[in-house]
Amino acid sequence: MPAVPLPPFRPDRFGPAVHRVETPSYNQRTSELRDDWLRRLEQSTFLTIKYGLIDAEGALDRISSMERDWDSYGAEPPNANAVRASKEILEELAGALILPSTIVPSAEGGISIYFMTGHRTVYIESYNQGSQTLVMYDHNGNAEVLEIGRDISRADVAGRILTYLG
Amino acid sequence: MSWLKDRHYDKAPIKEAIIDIQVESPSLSLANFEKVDISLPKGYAERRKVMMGQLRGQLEGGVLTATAKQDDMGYAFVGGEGKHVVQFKVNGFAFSRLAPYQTWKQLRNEAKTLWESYRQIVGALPVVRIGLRYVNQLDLPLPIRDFRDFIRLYPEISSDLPQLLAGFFLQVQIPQEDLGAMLILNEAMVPPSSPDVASVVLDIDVFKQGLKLESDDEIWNVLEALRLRKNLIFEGCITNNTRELIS
Repeated sequence: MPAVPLPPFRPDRFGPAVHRVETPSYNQRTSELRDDWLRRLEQSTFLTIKYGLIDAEGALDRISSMERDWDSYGAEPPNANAVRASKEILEELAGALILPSTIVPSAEGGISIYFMTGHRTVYIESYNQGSQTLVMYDHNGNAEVLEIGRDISRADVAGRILTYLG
Repeated sequence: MSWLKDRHYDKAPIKEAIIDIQVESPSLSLANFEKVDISLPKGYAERRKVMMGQLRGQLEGGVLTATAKQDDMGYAFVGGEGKHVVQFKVNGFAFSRLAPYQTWKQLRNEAKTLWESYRQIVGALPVVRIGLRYVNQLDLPLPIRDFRDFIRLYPEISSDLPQLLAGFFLQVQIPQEDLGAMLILNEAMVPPSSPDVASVVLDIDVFKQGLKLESDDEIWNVLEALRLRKNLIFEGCITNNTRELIS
C-alpha cells in the first residue's frame, strides 16, 4: 500500500494562530505585566476608586481585628460602630473620587482616615461611641476641628476636604 | 457583524470610557501645567495632582496602616458633576467619562475641547500614541451554569479539574493588523455590585503607537477607527443572553 503523504504543517489551522511569541523570559514578562497593570489601574478612575475602596475596606477589616492594648498604652480596639461609620464615610468619599492616604487605629478608641497633600492633612476620626470629627491642619500649625453632623453636614465633608487640600 | 458596529444599549455596562493621547515631550515638566485651570473649559475648576492612589496594607511597628503612593505626573481636573476627569500630564492627555455613559459623540466632543486646551499649553508636539479604552462591568445574574452563556472569552477549566471558580484574571494581546493597532483585553471577576450577581470587568483597550501625528484631524480619524473596532471587540466578547441583559 503506497504511503499517504502527510499534509504540510499549517499553524494557521489551529485557533488562535500563534505566529510569534513575544516573551523573552518569564521574569521579564511578569515584571512587564505588573507595570502594565499598575499603569492601567492608574489611568482608570473607575478601577482606581473600585480597587482603592476594596483595599481600604481590607485595611479596616484588619484594623477591626486588633486586640485591646494594641499600642501598649491600654488603647481600646476599634469597635463595630467605628468600623461601620468609617466604611460609610469611605464609600461616600469614593463617590466623590476621593481615596484615603492612610488608615490607622486611633489611640482614643476608633479609626482615623487620613488624606494628605504636600503641606496639608485632613483626617476623619470615627470614635467607638459613634461620633465623627473632621480635622484639618497644615505644616504651619493652623488647625480646624469640626464635628460631623453638628458643625458640618456629612454631605458637605467631601467638598470641604477637596477645598482644603486643593 | 457590521450591524453591531453602532449598536446602542440602554443599560450599557460601560463604567468608564477613556481617550488617551500621548505626545513626544522631551522638554515638558510639571511646571508647564501649574496654571492649567485658567485655560480649561467652565466646570473643571476642581484640580488634583495625578497620583497613583494605590493603597497597600502594611504592618509598621505593630500598627496596621494602608498607604497611598503618590506620583507627580501632571494634574487631573474633575468636571461634569464628577463624571468627567481630564488628566494633563507631561507625556500626554487622557479624558475619562464615568458612568452613566452617554454617547460617543458627547465623549469625543468633550475630549476635543479639552485637547485644544492641552494643545495651548504644550504646543504642537507630535502625537506618538492614541488609545481608546472602555472599562465595562457585566453584572451576570446568579446562579451561572456556565460563563459561556454570557461571555465568549473566558478561561476554559479542564473537565478533569473541580468546576468551582472563585475568581480569574485574564489578559490577551491581539494585534489588529489591518489597523496597525493593538488590542489589550483584560477580563477579571471583581467583587459583585450586589449579592445576586457575579461581576466581570471587561476592559477593552485598543491603541496605535509608534505614531508621529502633527494634525488634529488625523488624531480624531484614528479615534473613529479605534471606536468602531472597539465596538466589534465588545460584541465579540458577549452572547445574546448578555445583549438581552443590557438592552
